[in-house]
Amino acid sequence: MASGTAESPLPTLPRLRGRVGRGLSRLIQAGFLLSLIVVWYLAANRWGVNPLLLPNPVAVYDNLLDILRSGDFVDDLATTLGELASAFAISAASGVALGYLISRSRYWTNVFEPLLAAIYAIPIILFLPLFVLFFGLGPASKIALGASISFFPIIINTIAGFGHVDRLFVTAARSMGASDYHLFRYVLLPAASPVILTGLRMGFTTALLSIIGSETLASLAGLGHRIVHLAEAMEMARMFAYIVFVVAIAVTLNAVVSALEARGKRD
Amino acid sequence: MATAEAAIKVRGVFHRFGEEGEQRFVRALAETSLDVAQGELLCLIGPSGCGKSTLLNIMGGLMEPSSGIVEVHGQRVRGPLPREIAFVFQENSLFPWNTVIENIELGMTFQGVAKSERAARAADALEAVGLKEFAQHYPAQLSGGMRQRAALARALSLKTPILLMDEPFGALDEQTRMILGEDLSVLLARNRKTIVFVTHSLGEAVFLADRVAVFSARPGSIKQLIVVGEPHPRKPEFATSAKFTSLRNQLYGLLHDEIRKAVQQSTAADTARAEAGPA
Amino acid sequence: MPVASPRRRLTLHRLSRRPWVARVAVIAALFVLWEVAARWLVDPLFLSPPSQVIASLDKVFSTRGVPAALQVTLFELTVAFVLAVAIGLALGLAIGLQPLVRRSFFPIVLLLYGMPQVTILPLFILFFGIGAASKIAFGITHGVFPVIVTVVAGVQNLKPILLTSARSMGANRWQIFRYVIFPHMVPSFFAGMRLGMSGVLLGVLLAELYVSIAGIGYFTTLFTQNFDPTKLLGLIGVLAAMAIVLNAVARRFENRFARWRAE
Repeated sequence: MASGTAESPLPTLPRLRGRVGRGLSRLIQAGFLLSLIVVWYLAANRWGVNPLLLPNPVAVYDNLLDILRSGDFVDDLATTLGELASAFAISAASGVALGYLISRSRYWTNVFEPLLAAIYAIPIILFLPLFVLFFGLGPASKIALGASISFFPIIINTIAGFGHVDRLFVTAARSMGASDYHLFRYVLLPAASPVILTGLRMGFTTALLSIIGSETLASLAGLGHRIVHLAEAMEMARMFAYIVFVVAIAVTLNAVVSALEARGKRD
Repeated sequence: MATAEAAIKVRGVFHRFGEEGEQRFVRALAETSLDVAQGELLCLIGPSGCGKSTLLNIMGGLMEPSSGIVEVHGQRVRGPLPREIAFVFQENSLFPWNTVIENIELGMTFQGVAKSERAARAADALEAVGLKEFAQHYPAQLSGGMRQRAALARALSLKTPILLMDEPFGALDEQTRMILGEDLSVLLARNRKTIVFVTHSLGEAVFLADRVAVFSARPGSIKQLIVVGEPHPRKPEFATSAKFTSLRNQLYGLLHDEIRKAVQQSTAADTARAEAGPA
Repeated sequence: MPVASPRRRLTLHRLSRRPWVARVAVIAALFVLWEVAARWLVDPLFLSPPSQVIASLDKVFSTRGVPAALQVTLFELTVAFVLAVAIGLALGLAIGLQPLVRRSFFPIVLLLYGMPQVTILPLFILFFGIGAASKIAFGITHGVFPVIVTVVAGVQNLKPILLTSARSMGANRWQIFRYVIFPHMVPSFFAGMRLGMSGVLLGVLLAELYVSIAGIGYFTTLFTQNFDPTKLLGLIGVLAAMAIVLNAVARRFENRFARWRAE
């Protein structure tokens, strides 16, 4: 069937069935990524691109191994993760608690929802100079910023989660004599938790991004700072290695958090 | 009596989905042959999954059959024939971002009607289905019955000799179906098109059709062809006549066992799927 | 029996039932809190009260270079946004329309979308210099992904029956794209533009805050180093207000073009 099928809006290449089609796309992906690396290698070694702009991939790889073996990263990683943990703890606790309280009243939900959504639209990283002015260049300003930024998706989702619990469930439970505590623990919380978990995941991800971001912009320690430091010292290969490292950490953390979210939803 | 050339000729059409051994393999339609006479309204009725919609799509060139031939006005069918055949589908096939009249004019754009003619034809078509005041409305603002009228208007505006309708009233409630059925009969008495109409409803089939093709359960084949023999336009009184009742009972007798069979088939399929576990 | 006169009905109680009143009250309360904290609780070196900030706004604007810097930043935002949308639309269509291309490249797009781009900010500066180019480039890379993703989604979730319908009426490939796929995708595209706007804002501001010689990032750094919270708050306030306005405008556009959506 050459004419458009349900899967493709337009007439397509001959329709490759199931496994062959999937395999081909994987092949293309692999080919694409491989060719990028090849171009990188050639650019650095053969085409004379300035090594101060683009380091040799081999050198990057060597640096990466060195970083991992020597444990060079430990202090910075500890700083960043510590900031992340503190920021997330603050925003999660306050976000869920306040979100629940607000959601108890239809009126206050109506009042706060648009306000919170409007503030969420501002890139709060803008306030970083203020936090730096107030807390200095140490971890405190990063924690404050991280907590502020990740607070919003958490509280917005918490309000939405609790707010959209079907009134019917509440009525049914009350009619069976449920107390406030029963209601919260056995009806509201389970019903709202998928949305809340999503909010927590979003909060975690934005906290991580904000913290690395603020370390890049104004800090004396942490992974973001390390990358800037290496850039200023023009140690390109090592900087690239650290970028790979940080991206790997971020991807891993996000994957873990997403998996936790999915698992939490499944139960 | 000289037999006029059939409008649609179906010869030995057989269709299966997937390959043998695949999970999705199904013989949708057993070898079927059929002639649709010029100007007749033929109903295809049968249990779920019997392949009647598949046959309709094959007739209209939307699908290539696994084997067999379809000829329309002597021409072999290899793809959509927008100048010969117009479709009316069951669910909402109107483009939601266009108004009713834009939808109708767009159909003519696709077919290749000259720009100067489109407005007039669209207006006529809307008048014919009774939607003149709703030309500027969006589909979302109309009821289900009105949306199907608009879809019908679009098909009529294309001025094709053949109309293929796949359960056009299937998504509507009984009362709306009744009204639309009567209106359709009046409309069709006026412009003598060849129509193939797929339906689940026994009453609808008897009320509208010149002939009814009754399908067996999957893989479907035509079990029997019943002639209704009542002139168009059908009067509302026809629906309460003895002739209507007897024909309807005949259909019921033919279909009842096939329907049971079809239900068993789908239960078996559901159980198999559930046992196979999440894919 | 006396009927309550219409005038009577506008009591404080009824007024307080309107949400917008409460919202204004909440914002006012926050401002009061801010005022109190800044005047009596916190060292003036670190925080200024809103009354002072608002009063000194004109001083912010008269500071040499600030208006020019705002212009430069606005320029960076505009260019980055236009390019991000154009590139995003082109790539989104290229990826969304052919299933093989989509299966191959969409996962790569999603991977890049989730990457912490701020880690390569120093790279952008090294590549593009400390001028406007790096800000624009960084803005584009932040803004392009939501556009691609929403365009692909808009093309993907087209109901098959609409395609079948068009085919049955004899539409050719170009007609299907122009009259069916494209109009269906437009609402998603506008949603993507709104998200893209947020992304561009974030990217450009991040780059500005990192290093800037002509944009507002220069002045935020300056005010911070000079321990001038008044001017800093003023500048940030103006930028925050701008962000809110841009977002609201984007939402308006989005709603206007999604009118036909029944959802």
